[in-house]
Amino acid sequence: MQNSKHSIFQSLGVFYLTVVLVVLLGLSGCENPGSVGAGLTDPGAEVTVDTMTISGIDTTYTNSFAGSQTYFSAGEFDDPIFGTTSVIGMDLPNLPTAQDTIRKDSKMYMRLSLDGNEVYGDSSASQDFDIYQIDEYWQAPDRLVNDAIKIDKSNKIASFSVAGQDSMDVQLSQSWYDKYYNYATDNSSEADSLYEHKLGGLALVPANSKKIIPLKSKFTDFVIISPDSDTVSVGMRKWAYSLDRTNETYPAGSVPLYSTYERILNFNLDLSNVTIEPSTISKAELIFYQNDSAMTQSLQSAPSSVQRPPEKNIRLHLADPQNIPQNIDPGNPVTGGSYNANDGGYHLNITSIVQHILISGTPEGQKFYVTMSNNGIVTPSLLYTGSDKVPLSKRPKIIITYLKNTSK
Amino acid sequence: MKKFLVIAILFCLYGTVAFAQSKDGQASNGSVYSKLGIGYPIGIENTAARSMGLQGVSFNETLVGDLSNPAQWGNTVYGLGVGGVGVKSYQASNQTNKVKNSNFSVNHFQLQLPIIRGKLGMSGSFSPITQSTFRTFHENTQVVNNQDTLSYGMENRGSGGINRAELGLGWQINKNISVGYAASIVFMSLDDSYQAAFRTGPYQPVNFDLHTSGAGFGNRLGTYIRLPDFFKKNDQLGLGLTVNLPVTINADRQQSGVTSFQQGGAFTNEKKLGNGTVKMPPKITAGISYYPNEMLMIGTEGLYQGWSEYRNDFKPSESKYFVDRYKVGLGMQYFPYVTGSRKFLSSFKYRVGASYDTGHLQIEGKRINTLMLSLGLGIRSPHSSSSIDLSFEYGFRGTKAQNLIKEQIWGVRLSLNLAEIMFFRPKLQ
Repeated sequence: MQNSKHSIFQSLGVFYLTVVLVVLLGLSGCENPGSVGAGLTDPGAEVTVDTMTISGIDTTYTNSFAGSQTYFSAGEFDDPIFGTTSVIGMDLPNLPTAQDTIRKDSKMYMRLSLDGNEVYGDSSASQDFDIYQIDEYWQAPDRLVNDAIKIDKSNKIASFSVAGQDSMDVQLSQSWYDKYYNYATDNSSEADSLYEHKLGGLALVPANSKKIIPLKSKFTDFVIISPDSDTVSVGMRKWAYSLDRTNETYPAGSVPLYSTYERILNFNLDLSNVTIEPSTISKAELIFYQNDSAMTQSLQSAPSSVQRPPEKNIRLHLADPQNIPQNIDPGNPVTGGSYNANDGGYHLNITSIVQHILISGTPEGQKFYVTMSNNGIVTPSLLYTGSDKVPLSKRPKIIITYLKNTSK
Repeated sequence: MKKFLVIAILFCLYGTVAFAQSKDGQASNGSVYSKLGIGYPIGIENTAARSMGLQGVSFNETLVGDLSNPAQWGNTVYGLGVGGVGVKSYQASNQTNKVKNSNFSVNHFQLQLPIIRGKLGMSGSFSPITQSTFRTFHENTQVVNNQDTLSYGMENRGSGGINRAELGLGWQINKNISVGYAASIVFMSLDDSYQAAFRTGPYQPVNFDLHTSGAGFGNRLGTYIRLPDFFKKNDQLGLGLTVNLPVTINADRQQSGVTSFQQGGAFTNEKKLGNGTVKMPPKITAGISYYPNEMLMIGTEGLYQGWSEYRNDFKPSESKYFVDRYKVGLGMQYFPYVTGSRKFLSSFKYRVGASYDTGHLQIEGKRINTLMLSLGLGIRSPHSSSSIDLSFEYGFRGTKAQNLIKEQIWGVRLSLNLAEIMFFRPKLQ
């Protein structure tokens, strides 16, 4: 009887225990958290926005790369702010392949393809060019923006004008084609090398001052047409440009920034007074404001067709000043930013940069550099500095949005 | 033995499942009022007393360990061990929203041993004093640089509380009077984590944790007066009184956070925010119990806790919310098995009670009081002196007035009262 009672107890005890545990599991598994109780007391944390102005922005003058880029520019424009910019385009056609046959009595044309949206100057005006032979050997990857170029102006190879069109064929002189033909049909082993060293290439020299056109390197080529209308097409072997700028006149508190890297900005980011914890930073944004008013006013008296190429992006580099500009063109930008027409500012997300600096400090001996994209298009911008002459709202700044601990 | 093996397995199973849920944010959130101060006060009464809405200072069971009154340790005859788990479900609502949270918790552990059987006993225990387990969430919008309209949600989770490691002695001076004393180290470990997630890109989620930790010394005194044959033969009147002296905790606060980089990798930063003191208030518990016979017990007990003396250097602005706390409970227990009845329903212990707690908080002029109804069931082991106690609770806390929060509380608690395993069996006298 006692054993029977024990057995019943054991069965029922375990049964009840199991039931209770199932109930416990059910209770513990049901949660539906929501927004009740947040306002009971001080929240303890709040999203806070801190703004710090960046001072000590300086200009670095560089002579950076001007060859083998997506575009190569040519032309001239007299900008009231950014001065007279004269750009000589340079290129050299490839020799025909062994499969292509050309004739001595053929004609050679340079087929230009340009980006009409990126024209700097009067887009509807006619920009005149003369084409001369380059009188020196040059290498495209080594060409720098302000490097001078020797041109043989005794023999004009061609002249042409660009108005509003996006492409055109320019016939090159027969005398130049004869030289080209000789190298193209020379089967000796040194012919190719001699061609590049002796013939130099073609210089597109601006003959007036209306605009600077960006030529698409991928679509600009040469065609050789025989009297029988047989056509041989050859691409460019190398291309570059040579730029000369004079008479910049810009307002105090603003500095020019050029896509050509003639002027880039540098600054040190001093966060030693920032006590924000890295993990609490939701976004750190660096803003450079463009002096839109000065840029717009300077062109008010010009025809409405006068324009500056719209630059939509800038880049931020962290680099050793000793190796500028080689280490930042193109380099490896730490971040990029785009132009926002609503506030006239270039906005760069530097959240991870600020976090890294707060954790490890700024890498020793390195500075931040602000550049545009150097792709062969000539584009200027005018940025406000942190000068006292600049309205506070337009000074370069960092806006840090973070979660602040409001308790002790 | 088999039964206890099964129980142990079930305990492990339940604990594992519940803790696993906790990692996902389940079963880890309790009362939203535990957000204030150092958490919500937790009673140290055993499951049997809780089933009656009482503190357990004015009565005890020889075979069940009890932390409530150090004086009762003098009456220790067997080696006793107590441990338990519980879960509470909170349905919190204000004027506009309703949420449901549930909280699994491991209750106190106690080892109670006789030094001189029935005369002098000791107790070692680890028990919670307050518990902070909450999760709040709110959404907000904010304009940055007159341009971006930020829409974000902020979550605040709290965990931890105040725990006590205690060692004490109880002395039964004579058959009527017992006294006891316990000294403790009071540990504070509170975690407050904040996370904000933004709906507006490219704002990234952010977080930080506040960890407050420290320790202090606590002292507890108790007396228990037993008056047998008080009104009639075989009845018993019990009187109990305990006093917890104030505790000052010296604590440090640290802020930490994890920075995750888009390029991969993460960095954990820690910053010491400073130190301060937390002054825990004194507590006095008193009660009276009456056994008309061996089967029945009726008791009423009250508690006073001077929370108006509470000070917290880390949350000074909250001091205005804390007021003295009063709690009163009334309950009874019925043990039909003592008659020797072999009916199935007569083999259990039955308990019922209710309590009213004014609470230690007063917000916007409103007391955050708690009304709780309790039921209990005791299951005795057929082979030994050990037992299992279950308690079921249902009650209400707070108010919806002044846009405060009213909580509907369900609770289940289970404790295992060991009086044999690893301990010596009582010798036949």
